Amino acid sequence: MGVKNVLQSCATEVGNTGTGDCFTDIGMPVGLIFTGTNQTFTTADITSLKTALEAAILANNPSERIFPLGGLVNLTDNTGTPVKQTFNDGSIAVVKNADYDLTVQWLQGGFCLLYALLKARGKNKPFLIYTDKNLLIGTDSGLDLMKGIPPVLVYPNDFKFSDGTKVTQYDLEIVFKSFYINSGIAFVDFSNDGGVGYLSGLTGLQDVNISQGAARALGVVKLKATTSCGTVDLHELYASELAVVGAWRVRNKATKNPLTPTAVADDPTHNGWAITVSVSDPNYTATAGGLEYALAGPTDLDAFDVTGYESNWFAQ
Amino acid sequence: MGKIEFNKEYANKVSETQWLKDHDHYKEVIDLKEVYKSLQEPKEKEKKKEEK
Repeated sequence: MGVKNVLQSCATEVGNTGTGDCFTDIGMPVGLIFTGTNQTFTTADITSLKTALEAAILANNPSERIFPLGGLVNLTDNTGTPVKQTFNDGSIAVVKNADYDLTVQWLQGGFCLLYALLKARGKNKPFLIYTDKNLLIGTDSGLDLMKGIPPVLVYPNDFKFSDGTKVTQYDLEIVFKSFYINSGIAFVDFSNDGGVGYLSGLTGLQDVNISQGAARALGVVKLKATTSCGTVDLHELYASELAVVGAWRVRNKATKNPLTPTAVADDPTHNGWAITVSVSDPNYTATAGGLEYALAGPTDLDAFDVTGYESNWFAQ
Repeated sequence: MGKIEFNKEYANKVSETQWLKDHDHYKEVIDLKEVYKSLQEPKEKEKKKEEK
């Protein structure tokens, strides 16, 4: 009886070792882009890739969104060496490669950024890495496709106080299998397409807090909008752009059924906007706090030239 | 008062009476009847006439 060989193929691929004057150098990570678990990106065409990245930053649905983290400094590589076994005849064999273990720090965004990342602590979202050599690196996901590197660990560390000689330290540790960016690497070279300047220009959404300008009177409520980090008043920037019906959403708090805003007006008195809904709308309620208000989703806001924001739902 | 935008789709869906009631709080600052009229899209019959 023969023994079935379970290997599909034992053919050995040997890579040619010649290189031209131009060759790929990976460089130093200077940014990460967190992605969805099964989100893939084209590697066939940079224009399409750029469009996809820019659209994904503004995706209305958070599960389809990507979250850039740029301006990384002070990379620390804690990656170990491969695990080896030494035999009693002196032979040595590699048992396994060590996982990459990198810690990256940021200055821009400070605690606001850490606070945002802490919300995702333990979720271990996949990520793309971009480097100072203009490469956007992910892992191979089939023909002309790459996806985020699946992490073993993504851990935003608690901040460390400034001690008078160093700034307050905000950093993040990422651990991942070496396979994903060695034999399994997929990357796109942005050297001729804006390079690291383009990639670091991809910034995440800012959270916006909706608050009361004046209490609701029947179908009319007066609202203000300020960024959560920095408390920038959006009325100072977008008074006219946000005085449009499509820039606002209203829903019944209990049922989550939407109501149609029938009018939106700039309200300079309260540095905000007056939103009107019909009291005859079947989803209307006169109960205090029974209606919730929010800005439209990031993609929809972008159509009104209000780019890069996502608001909370505010009950009134 | 700054810019104000009315929902055109809504204005074409409800009666003038209902619409005026919904926006009664603006009656002191704008001519609501005129605004309602301006928001009305041509009815199907009128559209066909215009096409001819």
